[in-house]
Amino acid sequence: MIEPLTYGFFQRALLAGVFAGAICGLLSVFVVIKRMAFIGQGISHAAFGGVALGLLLGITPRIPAAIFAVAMALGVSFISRRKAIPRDALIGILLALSMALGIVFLSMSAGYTGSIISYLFGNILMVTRTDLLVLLIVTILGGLYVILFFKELQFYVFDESIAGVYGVPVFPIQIGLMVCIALAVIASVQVVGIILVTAMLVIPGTVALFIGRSYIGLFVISIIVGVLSSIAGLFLSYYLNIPSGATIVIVLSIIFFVIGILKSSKE
Amino acid sequence: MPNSPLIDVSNVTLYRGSRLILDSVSLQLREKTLLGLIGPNGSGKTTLLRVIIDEIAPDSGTALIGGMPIKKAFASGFRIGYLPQRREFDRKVPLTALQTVLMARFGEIGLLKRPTREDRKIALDSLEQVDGGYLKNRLIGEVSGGEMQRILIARALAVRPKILLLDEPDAGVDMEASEHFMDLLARIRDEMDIGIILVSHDIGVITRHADYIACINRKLHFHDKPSALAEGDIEKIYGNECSLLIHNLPKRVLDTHD
Repeated sequence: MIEPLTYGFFQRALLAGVFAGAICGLLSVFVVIKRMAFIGQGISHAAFGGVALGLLLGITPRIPAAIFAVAMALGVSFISRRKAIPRDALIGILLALSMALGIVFLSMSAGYTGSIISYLFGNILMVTRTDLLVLLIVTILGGLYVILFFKELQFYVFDESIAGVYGVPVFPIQIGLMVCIALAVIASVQVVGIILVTAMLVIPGTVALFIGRSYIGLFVISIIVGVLSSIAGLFLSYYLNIPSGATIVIVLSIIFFVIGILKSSKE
Repeated sequence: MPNSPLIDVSNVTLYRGSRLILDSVSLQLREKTLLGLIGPNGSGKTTLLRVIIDEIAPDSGTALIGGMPIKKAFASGFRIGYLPQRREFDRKVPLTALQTVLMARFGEIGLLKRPTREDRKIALDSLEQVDGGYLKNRLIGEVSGGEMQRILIARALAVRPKILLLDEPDAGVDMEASEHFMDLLARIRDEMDIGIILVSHDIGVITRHADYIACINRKLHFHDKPSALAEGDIEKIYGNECSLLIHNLPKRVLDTHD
């Protein structure tokens, strides 16, 4: 257990995994109760367009990726508010559009675009101090948002229409949550990649709902699952010499299946 | 405006696309009244409730709450407890009955503040008003259909409403629980000075317990002479197979009394 910890890259990777696991685990409870899994998918894939644009323009891809992801979150919120188009259809369309733009941007960039792979699948070995700082800030901001607006979030994800009737400002609360999800996704892309980051937003909350016996317990379980999966996945990937992001997702999935089977065999 | 009715809907007409949903509907609700609203599927019952709570704006006509437009009424502390027909929430979320009821206070408390002891007391009182005090620490996934229904009524009471709008709250609840439920509503009406609109398919239960009956099918036929709909009358006419007849027969009954 000690050996990898002596490497700077592994220490940074571990910290990144812990932050990403914590913020995604925290938000995951809301994502799962509100059945927003697909929006998480949409936001992360929208980031691909931004990453490709960044590579084309030769700027750090994180910034356009964040803009694309936040634009996706806001676009879906505002457009689907009018109910003229089903929300998941809209997400599907915008997701495909952003991916398509990304592919065009990539084809236009003359230079080296190999690093797109590390955004798609994560590259935790390349986590820089700046990445860590960004992750830390996003984790703190997301955590603050949840703490400050906990009761509104609780009502909104549980029963949106009644929350609105009873005077909770559901639309602004929803916007805030979507932006938090977008930022958490962008910050976590380094850890598990665009393709797999949805797992970190969906599995911890689902497991928490399997076994949680109290509302606060959901968050405790979800964060623990997120953080432990990151840590276990990183050590496994180090010793087995396999890609870290994928390993984290496999660990998450194993936890999901084991607890799911235990739970259904009890019932 | 003490003499204004709790709800004053006047000449509300509403189209969805080119389809006429509500055709110059007028309706009033006063304190301490239980109004039964009946009508076939797609007759505009739910739409009318949603107009009253300002979720949908009518094409013409007005809906006043306590003599004021709803936003003004809301700003001056007028609250409506609403129980929609479609329950969108997931009972697997491990919330206790008390936590569920307490949520109704969140809008009142305002942003960035925690529920106070007073809010918790209101939530617990509301649960006790529906004889649900014993449920307070139970998870909502582990209570019966009738108990869940009472928890939701308690949640509606926890906003301290002057009006309750209940859209088929008894769907999926057995007959006996349904009778208990009506007794409970009558008690809420009498003791808490609340006006209630109850949408129901169960015309028998409605006629036994409601003070007034309104029948809606795009147009609304309001019957304000409850004695004319004496207990048992409607059952005599319809027997138990009233569901298909609701739409026409009550109108006929009502018309004869106009």
